[in-house]
Amino acid sequence: MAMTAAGPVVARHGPGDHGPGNIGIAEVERNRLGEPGTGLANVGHRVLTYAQLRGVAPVRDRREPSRTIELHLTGNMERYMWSFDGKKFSEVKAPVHFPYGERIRLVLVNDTMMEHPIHLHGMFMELENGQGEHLPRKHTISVKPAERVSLLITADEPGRWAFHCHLLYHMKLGMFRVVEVS
Amino acid sequence: MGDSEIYHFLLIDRLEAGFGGADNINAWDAQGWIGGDYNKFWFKTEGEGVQGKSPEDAEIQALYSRTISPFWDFQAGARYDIRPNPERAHAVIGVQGLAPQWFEVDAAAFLSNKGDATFRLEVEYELLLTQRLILQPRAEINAAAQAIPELGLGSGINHSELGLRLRYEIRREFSPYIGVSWKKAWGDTANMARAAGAELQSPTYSCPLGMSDRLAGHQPRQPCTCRGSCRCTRQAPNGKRGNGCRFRLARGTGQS
Repeated sequence: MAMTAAGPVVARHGPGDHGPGNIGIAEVERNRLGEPGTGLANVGHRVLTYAQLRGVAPVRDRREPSRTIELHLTGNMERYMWSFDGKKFSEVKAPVHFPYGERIRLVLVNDTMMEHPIHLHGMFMELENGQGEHLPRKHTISVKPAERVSLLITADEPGRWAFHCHLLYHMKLGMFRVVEVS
Repeated sequence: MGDSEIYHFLLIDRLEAGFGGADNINAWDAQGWIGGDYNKFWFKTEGEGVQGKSPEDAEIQALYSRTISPFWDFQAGARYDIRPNPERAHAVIGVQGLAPQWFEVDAAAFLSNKGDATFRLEVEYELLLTQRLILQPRAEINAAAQAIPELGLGSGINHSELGLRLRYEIRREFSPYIGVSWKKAWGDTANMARAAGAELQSPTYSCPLGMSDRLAGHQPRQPCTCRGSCRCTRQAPNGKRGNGCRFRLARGTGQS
């Protein structure tokens, strides 16, 4: 099987490097939903990609998102630190705020060199993978290195919800945020 | 959450006994820290001396260490020299970290209680011949802003040391090694040592690798010593890695 071509460049990293808790940045951010996951590019069988997922039911909330929240997946292998936007959980003062009832676009950018499965509790995320009205619903999205993914969320579950990397030692060391719907 | 835990790290980087020469050198070099990701208490100790005699040099440093960038720490604190006589206390500021291309660097400036400013630069590199067999070149340069006659130091660069050690990691925490090192005095420091008399200088010795002739040049030659020793690291719990494990991360094999 031939190597899968890298997905298209969809953005470039803004200024800033997220501080000492982060070693590198994805200067070029790509849509990699059409690529197999790490280690699955040259296997002898068919591999399902995120781009091929299609929701059975159409998306219910058709509103345009009222706000975009962008979070970067960051880490420092040298010091073994993990975080969002270079800030460990203990360094963050306030939760990520989703106003109740709003339609949110959550953008995740992976600035590290490995995949991170990012899990939002409480609400499904609809992955913007080009499937029109049939976006797949995910509670965990595995974000590839230097990938930029976009997810739609209807903030209809009030309360405080865990949002974290599901590699639990990353979560434990700070790759964790509280999402507050209020 | 566990992202603010206190970790500790101990690296006995060199613990060695020379062999093959007339006046062989014993040396130690250890450092460690206790703290979190951003703030640490860091200590260092090193020294050396001729076997069977009390150490010629022995120092200990106690430093506050602050993470200032992904690969660098700023350090400030105190250093105390137990040897040589007369004893000295110093204020210390420096940086320690990993330079591009994975050179481990420790650079410090010292201001003694006599008002003397001195400087030290140490650079190490780790070449992984295999995952366990590691060749480590090491260079150290010492300099002074002024002459310090009572310590036998001239101004400018006064001592340099080159070392090459080959270690085998039986475990991550324990690595015997063998190596060679070569120390050289420069300028007025060398002249003062020569004037102080031969009894202060170890006899010239050519080590089996034949480096001393080529490198020692015309200066009073210090022994080029073959050293056999061990290198020990103590890792922090929970898989949190200390600085002694950099080579694994550098090659990306420990990514997880």
